Amino acid sequence: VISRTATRPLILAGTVLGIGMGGFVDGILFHQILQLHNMLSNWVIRDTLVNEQINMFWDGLFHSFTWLCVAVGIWLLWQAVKRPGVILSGKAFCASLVFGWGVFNLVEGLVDHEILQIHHVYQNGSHLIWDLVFLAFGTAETIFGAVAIRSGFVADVNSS
Amino acid sequence: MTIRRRLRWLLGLTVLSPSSHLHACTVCDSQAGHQLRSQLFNGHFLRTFACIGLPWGVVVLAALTLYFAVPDFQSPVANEGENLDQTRLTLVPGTARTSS
Repeated sequence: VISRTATRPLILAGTVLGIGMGGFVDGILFHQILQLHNMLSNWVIRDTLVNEQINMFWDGLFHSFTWLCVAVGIWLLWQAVKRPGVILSGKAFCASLVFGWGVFNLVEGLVDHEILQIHHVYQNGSHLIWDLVFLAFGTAETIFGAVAIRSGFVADVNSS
Repeated sequence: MTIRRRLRWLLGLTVLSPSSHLHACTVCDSQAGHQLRSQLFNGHFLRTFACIGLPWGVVVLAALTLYFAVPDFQSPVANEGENLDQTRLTLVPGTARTSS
């Protein structure tokens, strides 16, 4: 049996880092490069310079949270590496990153897109299908990540 | 220089001009800057801040819940009667290493 005390610190660090990096993917790709939506683009329509800048301000706050998440993830990873007995499996760590990204997409997709509706994935068209694809992608990442974390640890331990 | 070319120059200079009326930022002393601040820091600021922060609170709770819910993994090797303790993992070189 691979004890959870030997796996949990690395899984937590990878998950928190994955959440932060997933947030950066969303912010950089969707908000800035593709400009499909901004943080409040369903509440404050981006049709004037001031409205655009209001969205930009809240985008900045969103990125601050993602930065904090990554910083905490790095600290957790450092703690995991220093802690005796933790299995440092690269496969399980990468799987934790994917898992964290999936958790971010799921939570963000449910809370921001569906419950609060502060923005949708694609603001200028039929948003439901885009929102559902986003949620489906997050679900697939979460399931794949969870399965891959387990198999990553087992494979690495067995091969040693 | 044709009139059309002169107009292009004029348009280019207007766009590049530092005194453009589009000049605005969160701390700018301009009309748009004042407008931005008044629309940002109004009675809805805290509510909006809470909405932006809510998913992050949820993901942190989710991460902590998952941390305590992580099960022990069953290794096929261990099933064959070989217990994998941390001492053995530290001594055997390979792809999986434990921190020491």
